[in-house]
Amino acid sequence: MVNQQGGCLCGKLRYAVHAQPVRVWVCHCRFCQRATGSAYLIDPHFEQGDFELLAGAPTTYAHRSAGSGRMLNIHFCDACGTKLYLTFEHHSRIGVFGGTFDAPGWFDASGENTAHIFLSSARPGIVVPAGVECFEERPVTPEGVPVPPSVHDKPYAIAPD
Amino acid sequence: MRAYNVGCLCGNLRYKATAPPLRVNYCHCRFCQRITGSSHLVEPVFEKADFGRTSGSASVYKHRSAGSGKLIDIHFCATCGTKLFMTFERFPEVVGVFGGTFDDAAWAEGTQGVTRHLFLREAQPGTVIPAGVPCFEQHAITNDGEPLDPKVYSEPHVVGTGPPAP
Repeated sequence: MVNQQGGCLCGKLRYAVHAQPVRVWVCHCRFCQRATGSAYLIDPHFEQGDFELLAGAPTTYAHRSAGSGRMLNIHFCDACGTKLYLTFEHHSRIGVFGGTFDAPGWFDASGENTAHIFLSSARPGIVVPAGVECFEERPVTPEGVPVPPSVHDKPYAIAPD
Repeated sequence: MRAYNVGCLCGNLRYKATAPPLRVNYCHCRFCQRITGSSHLVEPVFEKADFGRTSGSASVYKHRSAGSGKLIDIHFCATCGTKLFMTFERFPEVVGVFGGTFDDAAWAEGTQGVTRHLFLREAQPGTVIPAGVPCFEQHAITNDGEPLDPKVYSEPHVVGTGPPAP
């Protein structure tokens, strides 16, 4: 069984997951840029039963999504500010901040199970890998209709604005 | 004068810079992976004198760098956890801002010539480095301040190895 652990910078909060991610989202939206401070969030999603909090009690910030209007909760460490995972109003999966795993490369973030989303707000200087599903915004419409992805056969550099 | 406004998700904490960044670091080290939750930090570096508070009061977490042994202060919002900037014992004249927290993504315009990628030896597998930017396996300088030679890729470069499993 998978047993991959992660935690915050100061070590107060620790977690483990016990399965491969159901899906890996690499999200370039403005919320994820601000939440990470970086260009995108690497957000592997796990079934709730495969995620285990091992130590500490996270602080939660509830945020209403500008896009969907639904609530999402950010769970972070009050001592060092590290954000560890997201929970969502509209589904029960856990979205982990991928860089907080002790071995962040343990899951495949560049293969068929990965999708880059909200590329309409992606930053110049970022290169999207070949072979992953790409979406300008969400992979489904607000009515729940799947959007066809585009897939690049070579690394795809985001052009300057 | 152009202002570079940054803020946290909940809006409590607001800062701004009043001059363009000196340089922009894309840092792939394990520390930057953990603090962002992503594969790297996008870090525009400003003169401390050009950066100041607009509103709110930041919490500070003091972290000792595993590489240099020097202290790094991470300034973040206690309400929403968003990190806005870092100050450094090692580099007291500058502020390293979390690039994703700018209101206007156009902060990065004109910074291509001062951009570099750091700590490629720790980058997550599958990370793609753009062509034409200086890349360093570790920092751009040694702990004694000696500059290191960059490598520049002519095509996008896919990183094949990451940090060893613990």
